Amino acid sequence: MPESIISIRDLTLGYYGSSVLESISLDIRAGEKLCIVGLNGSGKSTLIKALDRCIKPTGGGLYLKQKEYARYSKKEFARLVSYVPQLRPTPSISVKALVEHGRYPYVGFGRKLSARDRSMVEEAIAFTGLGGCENRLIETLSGGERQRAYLAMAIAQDTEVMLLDEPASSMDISSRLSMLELLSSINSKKGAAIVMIMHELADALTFADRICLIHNKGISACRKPDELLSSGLLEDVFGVKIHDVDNGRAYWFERIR
Amino acid sequence: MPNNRGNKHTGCMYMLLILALMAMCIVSLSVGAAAMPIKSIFEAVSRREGTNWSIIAYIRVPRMIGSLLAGAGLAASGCIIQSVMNNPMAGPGIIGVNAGAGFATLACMALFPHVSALLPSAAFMGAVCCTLFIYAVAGIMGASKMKLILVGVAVSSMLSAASSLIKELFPDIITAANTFSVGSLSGVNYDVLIPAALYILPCIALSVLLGRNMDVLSLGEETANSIGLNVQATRFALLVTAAMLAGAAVSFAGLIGFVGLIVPHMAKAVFGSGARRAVLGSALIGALLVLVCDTLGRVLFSPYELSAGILISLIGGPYFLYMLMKNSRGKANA
Repeated sequence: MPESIISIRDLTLGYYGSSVLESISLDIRAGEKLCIVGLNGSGKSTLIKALDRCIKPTGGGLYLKQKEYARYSKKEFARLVSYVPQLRPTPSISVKALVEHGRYPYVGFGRKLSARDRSMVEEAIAFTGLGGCENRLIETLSGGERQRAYLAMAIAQDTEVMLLDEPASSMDISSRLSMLELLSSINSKKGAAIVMIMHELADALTFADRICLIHNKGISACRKPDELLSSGLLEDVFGVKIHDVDNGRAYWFERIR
Repeated sequence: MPNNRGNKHTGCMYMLLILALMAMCIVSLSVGAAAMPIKSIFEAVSRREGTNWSIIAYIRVPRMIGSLLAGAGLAASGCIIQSVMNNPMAGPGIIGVNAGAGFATLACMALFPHVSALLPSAAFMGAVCCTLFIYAVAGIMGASKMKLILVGVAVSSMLSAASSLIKELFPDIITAANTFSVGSLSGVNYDVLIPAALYILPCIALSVLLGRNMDVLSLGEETANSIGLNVQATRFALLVTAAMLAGAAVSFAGLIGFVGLIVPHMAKAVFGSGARRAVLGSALIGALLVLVCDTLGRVLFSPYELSAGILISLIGGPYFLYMLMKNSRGKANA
């Protein structure tokens, strides 16, 4: 079994005294594609933010490569874990300037980029299909292109884990599929573990190596898509009947409550 | 359309601004109630004696330096605050500089009316302490940008009310208080300029050094955190720097408005994005703006003087409206 890159042990997360997730445990494996699914308000974003140290747990522990989260400095952590949040401001900078920020954990006080840093930036821009857009301002890009620009920044950060909060939200079907292909490519070519929140169950079922289902302040299951489907848990939680139409390549959903 | 300003363009603009500043410095030394041609200035400086020399050395040079320092300090402060708060309508007032400096100055005028030497220190300490207090209170609730703004508004309101109370109880200080609240460079001397310069110049240098961190902050807290920036510490350091810049400027020039609000936008239009260029550009443009306004104030209704703060407000208000309208039109056309 592949080793765990992130281990969650009895983790409790909450805001202003009330808990959102209670005593959850999970091992995120190196190089896997893990999708986190659940109803609105179930704690998916809270979990992702805790994994990126944006919020502090109220109980339990988080471990990165068997070492406690708290023992990593800001930059050491940023060299191992990158995060693309769902909501981002639109800074008035070029695509290239944005992607260069991905090298921040690697530059010194003078903030000068080395030849290797520049090469990583160029590679990340080309990888996400934004070649030719380097000098365009972020605010002039479409939603899908903007998402790719932030993804390029995360690629330039060159981490072992990428956390993404709904990377394909507000995208049309073509852009969504394109985004998922890109993430698969990052996973296969860069070897980074992809941990992402998905609302589209069909995408999660076709994309993920494992799906983590969050419900009732806990993790109901974390299994391979076919195992989760046959368990009936997805149908119980979402109140839909899931029909496989193409041997795991396509699904349609029927509301049952 | 790409909006990157190349290094060559930036270098040219810096040179132009410096040349404009130098030219304006000569103009400010030569115009006034006692007009002095450039030749007379050079003669007075080489002789270092006579009436002209006294006017230049003890009145016009301090006033010129004061204008440059006040403009640079307020503009750089505004640039930092707009970047840190991610709010193009923010200025030094939002972190309590104006309210803190105003209250401390009025309290000093009322309680120690014969010790005018205390006023600059009081203004500076009031500005910085108010900022620290706002940060401490907001910090209890997480010190997010929104909390800082809201606490800033609340504390500023309280201090403004307290300032009004002082004026009610000590009506003798009203004239001096009004001059301070409008902002004026009349009567500045080296005793107040040197300490202020010791804060303003290093703080501008520090904010240029922290420019890259400011750029990272503009990506949003979560993204900045995810690439390894200590968001809370960086925000605190930058806001304290901004408070010291504005506090030092206010300590001798009073509450000159609009410089911190509009000059960063001018700098962005000239230099494009990039915090380092924005801060340096803001400092240069701010220095030029205040020097121009102070000089105009001395000559427009000579021998009567119009405070630099009044002229800047007269220019700044319409420019601010123009900016708002331009922004709205841009969004409507998008």
